[in-house]
Amino acid sequence: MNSVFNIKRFWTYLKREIVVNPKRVYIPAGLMTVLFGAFLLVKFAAGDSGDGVVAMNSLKNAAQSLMGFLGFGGAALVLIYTSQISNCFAQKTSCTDFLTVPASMLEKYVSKIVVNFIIPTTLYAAMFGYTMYSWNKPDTLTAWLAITAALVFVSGIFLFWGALFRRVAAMWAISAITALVLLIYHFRFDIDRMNFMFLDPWRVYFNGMSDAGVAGFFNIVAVVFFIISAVIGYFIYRRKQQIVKPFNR
Amino acid sequence: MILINDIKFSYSKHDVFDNLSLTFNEGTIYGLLGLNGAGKSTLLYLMCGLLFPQKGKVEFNGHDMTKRSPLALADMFLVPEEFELPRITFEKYVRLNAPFYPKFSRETLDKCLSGFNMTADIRLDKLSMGQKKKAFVCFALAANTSLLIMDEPTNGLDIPSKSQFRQVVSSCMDDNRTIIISTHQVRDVENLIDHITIINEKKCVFDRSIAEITDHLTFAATKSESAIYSQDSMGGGVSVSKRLIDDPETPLNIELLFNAVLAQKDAINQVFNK
Repeated sequence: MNSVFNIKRFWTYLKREIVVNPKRVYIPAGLMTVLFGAFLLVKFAAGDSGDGVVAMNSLKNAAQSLMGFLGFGGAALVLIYTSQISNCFAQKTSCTDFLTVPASMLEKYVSKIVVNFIIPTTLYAAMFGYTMYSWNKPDTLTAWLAITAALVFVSGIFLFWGALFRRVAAMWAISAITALVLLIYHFRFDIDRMNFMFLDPWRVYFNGMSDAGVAGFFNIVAVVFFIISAVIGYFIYRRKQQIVKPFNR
Repeated sequence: MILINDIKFSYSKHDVFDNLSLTFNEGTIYGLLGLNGAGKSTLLYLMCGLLFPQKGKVEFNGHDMTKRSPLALADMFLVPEEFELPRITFEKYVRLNAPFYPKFSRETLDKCLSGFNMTADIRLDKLSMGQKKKAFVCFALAANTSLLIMDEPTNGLDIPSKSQFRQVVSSCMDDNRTIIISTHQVRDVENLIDHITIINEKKCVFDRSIAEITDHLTFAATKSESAIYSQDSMGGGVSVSKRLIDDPETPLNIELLFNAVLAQKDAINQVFNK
């Protein structure tokens, strides 16, 4: 049996990883269900056109805001999970379990990426994308592509960051970024009306995504960047598993 | 078989082992003893590949443990002193983890659980620390690995469970298996272990089988002038002496032997070398 990567052993480890860390799947799934539920509620109450009585429009606006908050919240959650890929080395008990389970380091690392990044991101992108698309906004696909590409790109940074530094630092940083984004979002929901100077690069990026070629390019760049981060992260991971801090104190 | 060859290990500036060599053979239950901080747990972590020696090698059935090969890990099991169990049922835990161990036996698991008066239909997060330990030990024994390492396995177990532990472990022992138990609670492993290994001051200071010990030493419930080591006790005193040809065999007193080895290491070892 191959001691570097064996598909059967990987699958066994992945199943174990999913069951042992259910929140990695249930929380994004729950969040996206709430998001989608809010959308459905408004869609049926206010109608697709958005016309109607003031109360319905208020409901629609509230749901739209909720959608935005949950959208950013979901993205932040993906980043938090991605930065936690190396957290198995943080405590003695989790570390013992992680290192003594009979699977190779590569199988364990890939499983962590699947559970901490691929599953939450897929759930997020699918539900958020479908919700936005169903909202009948003309620029939904553009927004979805922009957000997904940005999320994959930033996840690559956080994977690398999480591999290098302790989880607390990464979580505080993510929380600060999330708070900033939510604050901006709260005061300036409509992206077209945003007039903060420092948001210009985002607006340029966002508008650029309306071109299919540019959008495709950015998405490919994001995926390639994530893969490079994952490969570098693996070498940091291997280094960490050689000198496991909780056991060397 | 696990081979520890001339290892050196230290935590930053604190040396734990220096030129330590040991061999653990199949078909034996080893009791690993030592003072607090002597390095018992460190030695177990080195054997499992959780720590890497700065010098020397730890090999398990030919596998270098620093490589943490899945093949080697599938044939060994560590029951650490502290561990985490997921918030799932024990049945689910078994279904998830058993496939990693090719020799896993459901029959052995059921036998061990019944030995502890437990059943498999339990939720791991609802168990007390002692119950969790029993469930984990049952799984570890059922994994049927060639090497089973237990760090303070009786900590947290109630009095009846300690005796059940001895019965369960001895019922799962066979000639192809090595069990290493590190403990402070020497009474908990009395009549269970076949071999005693004592580590102190960076070295192994004693490494003998129970048969060898009882062949060469006698343990008396009185103090004696001619004894190698004597100490006061509640009833007056206890002593360890060299066993002479006509002396009857006496039951092993592990606690007394441990104290004797720490106090009179050379004198005790000399008895065996002659």
